[in-house]
Amino acid sequence: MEWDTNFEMPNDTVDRDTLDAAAGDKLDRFYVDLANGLHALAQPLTILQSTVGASSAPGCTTDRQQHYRDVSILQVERACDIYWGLQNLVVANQAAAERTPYDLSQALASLLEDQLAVLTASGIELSIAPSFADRSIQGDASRTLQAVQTSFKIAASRSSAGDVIKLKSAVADGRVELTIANSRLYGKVLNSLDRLNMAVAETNIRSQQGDYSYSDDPFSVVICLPIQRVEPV
Amino acid sequence: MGATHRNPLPAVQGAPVFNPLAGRRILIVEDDLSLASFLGSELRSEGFEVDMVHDGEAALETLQGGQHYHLLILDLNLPKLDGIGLLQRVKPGRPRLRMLVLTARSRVEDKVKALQTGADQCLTKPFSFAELLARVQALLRRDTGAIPNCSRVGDLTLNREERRVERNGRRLNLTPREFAIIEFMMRNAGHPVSRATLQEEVWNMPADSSTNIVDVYMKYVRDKVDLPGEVKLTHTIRGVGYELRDA
Repeated sequence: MEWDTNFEMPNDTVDRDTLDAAAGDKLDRFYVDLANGLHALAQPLTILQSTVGASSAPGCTTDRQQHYRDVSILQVERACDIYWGLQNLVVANQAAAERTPYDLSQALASLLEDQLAVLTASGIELSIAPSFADRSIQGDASRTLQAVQTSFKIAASRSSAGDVIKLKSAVADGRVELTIANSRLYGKVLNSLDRLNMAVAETNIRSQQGDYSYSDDPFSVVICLPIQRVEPV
Repeated sequence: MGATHRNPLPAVQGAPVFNPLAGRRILIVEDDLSLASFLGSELRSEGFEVDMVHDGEAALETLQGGQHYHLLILDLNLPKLDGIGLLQRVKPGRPRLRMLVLTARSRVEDKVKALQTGADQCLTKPFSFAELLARVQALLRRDTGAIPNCSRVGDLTLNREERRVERNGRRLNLTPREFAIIEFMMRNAGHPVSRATLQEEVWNMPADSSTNIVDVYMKYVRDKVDLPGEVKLTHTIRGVGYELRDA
């Protein structure tokens, strides 16, 4: 097996400056993602700080107190989701990805079965291209699953009954390319929690020497993962 | 907000009950839909007319329409056109439009850049709506010139020109800093004021949670304003800061 650029597993063919630059890029990306995640967390905290103060203010009626409680419950849930996203982001950056061969189609089989059930129940069609890759990947199956699951979750959240979510795959240049795409314009950009979860997904894919890119509207994600290469005997 | 926060003017005892700021139109530019919706709802309940958009380009289009706005509340971190870009595009053509910047970036440079680009004030997230409201009122009052020479909260009176503060006929012997604190608190009477705001407005320095200077000075002020046996006018608002109010 050989990696084109691998700052986590240096070898003699990659010079030190390249490794340092790659590590620096990774750290820079982490700081940006972390700052965006903290920015996301500031939104529910602002609402919570306001509702706590307002509901305990003298003269606040019972109805208003109930209203502020209802708002607070939603915002606590949102804050917790963002907290978990931040924690996942830190873990994804801190821990090294596994480097174990796994079969991509097998790894995704259960996830796709679940997605098919969930989407069908909502009246959304999941279209899986017949040439779905049956390829062995050298990497971390759980990280790939997180990235694919996040992509499906966001794709589904931006779809309504009658819409189609497409999953395509292709092989080129020693990589498997997975595309998850919504068929229709949604009209809005991703919210801050979605962006945070996408940052976790991107980290998980890049930690396997893969590439990850997405566009907001219509929502689509492209995940590229290196195919396991067999060294000649 | 509670009933005590309905009147956008400070609850100055003895002043006629009127609300010259009601009906002022505010444009909120915030990409977080929940926060925008919450702020819009709370500001409407305070009597303001509120419109909302969720990205910089939509804000530009709205401002180029026929509607007149008195205040723009904008997040710095906006999609399509960020807050600084929006300020740069809007301020030259609307020098009188008040602009309040919300930011989750606590870096001093970001605030300086926003203020240099034309923002009137910056407020760092997370904040309390009570504080946002006080700032909105203060900004809109600038246009009405409504800061009077004398203010009263209960039996506490302040004369700005003479720099004199009295309580029930007893003159308070205040240092310049203590006077500045009471003056700012009286302008925001009936509303909680955060420690961060006091640091920024009274000390003219960025908020710094590592210092307890505000608490130290508030104790000095409290010891001089509220003597034993008198009705307490200075109140600690847990999780926010302080409030000056009559009972």
